[in-house]
Amino acid sequence: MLIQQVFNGLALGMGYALIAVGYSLVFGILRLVNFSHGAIYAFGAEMAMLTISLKFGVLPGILAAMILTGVLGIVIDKVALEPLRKKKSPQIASLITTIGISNIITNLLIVFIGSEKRNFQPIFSQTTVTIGNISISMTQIMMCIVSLLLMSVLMIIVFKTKIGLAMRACEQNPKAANMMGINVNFVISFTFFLAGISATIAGALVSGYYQIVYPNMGFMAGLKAFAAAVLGGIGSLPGALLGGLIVGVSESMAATFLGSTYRDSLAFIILIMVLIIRPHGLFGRKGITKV
Amino acid sequence: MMLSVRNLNTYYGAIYALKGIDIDVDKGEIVSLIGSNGAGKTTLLNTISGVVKSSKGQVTFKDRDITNISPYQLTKMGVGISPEGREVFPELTVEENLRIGAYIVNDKEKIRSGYDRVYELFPRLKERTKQQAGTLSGGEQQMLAVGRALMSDPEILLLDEPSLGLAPNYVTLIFDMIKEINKQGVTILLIEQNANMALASSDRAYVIENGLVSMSGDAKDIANDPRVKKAYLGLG
Repeated sequence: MLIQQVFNGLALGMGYALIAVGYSLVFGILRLVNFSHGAIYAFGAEMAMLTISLKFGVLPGILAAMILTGVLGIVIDKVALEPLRKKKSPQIASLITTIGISNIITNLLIVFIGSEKRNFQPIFSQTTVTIGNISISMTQIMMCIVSLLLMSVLMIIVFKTKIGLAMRACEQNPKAANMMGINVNFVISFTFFLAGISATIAGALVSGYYQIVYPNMGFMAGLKAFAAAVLGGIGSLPGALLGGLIVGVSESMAATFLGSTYRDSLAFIILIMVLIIRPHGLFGRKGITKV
Repeated sequence: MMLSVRNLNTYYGAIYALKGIDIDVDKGEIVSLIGSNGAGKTTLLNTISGVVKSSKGQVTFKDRDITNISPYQLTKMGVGISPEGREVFPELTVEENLRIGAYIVNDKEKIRSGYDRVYELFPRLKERTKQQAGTLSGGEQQMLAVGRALMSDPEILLLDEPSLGLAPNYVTLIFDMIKEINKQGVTILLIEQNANMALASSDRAYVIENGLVSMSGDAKDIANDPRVKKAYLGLG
């Protein structure tokens, strides 16, 4: 029973981790909590639902949804956040803007698609693997594999490529990066694109897992993923992964052993406890706000 | 003229920082801007490099209008910048910092020779390639800032206070390297509070006071001017 729940939690936690990297990437570069990211995740899931229903196949559908959602991220930044940066507005202005955007996206989804919960077709085969008295579904296994793969790709981009080096430079000193010939706004757009792509993959995986999709799905998931990002140390990719897994497993444990009413609060209790002991999160760097 | 500044006016917030400045830098020169703290030297450099926008006037580089250009576009045109306060990327290694300096360069061979050139000028950096820039001493960070600006193989180098806060032996070393870089064919516009060293190393100089050029000419003549001696060289 316990091990079974750990597995269920890990699969779910991978989903949170993929949403959490979006918070971490954008926070890294802008020092901004992008509260519209939960809505971007819901948008990605809804787009995946739409594009898959066009019957070009599941994979092309998800790819199209990834691009659409990535572009949405860029548009949000260009339309609402870049003008604020240009005017050197206080961070609180950007923060409230992202909360506003979150509501606008959710609202538009309700207007154009409808607020009801709809059935999301399973992406992977419905078979289950049984070892002893633990049964793991193919969907759970694939969720873990796809998530780890995407995490690895993101790590390679950030730490091994030229654009990744530019991302890290902009994160540490945007003014100097600009003087070195880096178009900082382009790098920010690229970061929003990556965050949108990750959110879409998370949306498709989690929706495929629960077989359900609805415009408000990003609210709670977004908050928990944000908690996961902070828990792991916001700005850190391995931190987002670990944070996501902790949130996923604790949620799964709480639902089983404490009852489903405790599902949403245990993750936050853990967050608060960890922050009291390690204020910068598990993988957080102390100097991160100084630069 | 390689770099020309005409009637440049800049507000820094509410402060009227540049009140109509004219300067020229010819190819191959070392030109220094001296003046006391708050005279407008850094604002002038920041306006030339586009970090701060001017309200009036013009900046041209090789006869192209670069007034209020974005700094990242300037690098592509052949302008290297070593900003005030060094501004290295603290959590990147020395090598990564230099790689960022060559961000606009795509030719691998050219990047390679960029590293060689910087490591030859500053052997100390070569010993520390894998070290995080934030852990370097102030003098080493200054070498890195100058080296990073050289990585794009610029025609002109804008140096803002390269000697600020450095130990005397590092000050001498940095100025020697500036002269060496100039010998390699790089034009240099230097901003300095250390007027002694700046004037001794430069061809020409401008004295900036209250957002205006108060004096200009050969560095030697400026260094011998009684007013400059009294106000900036601690003599007289």
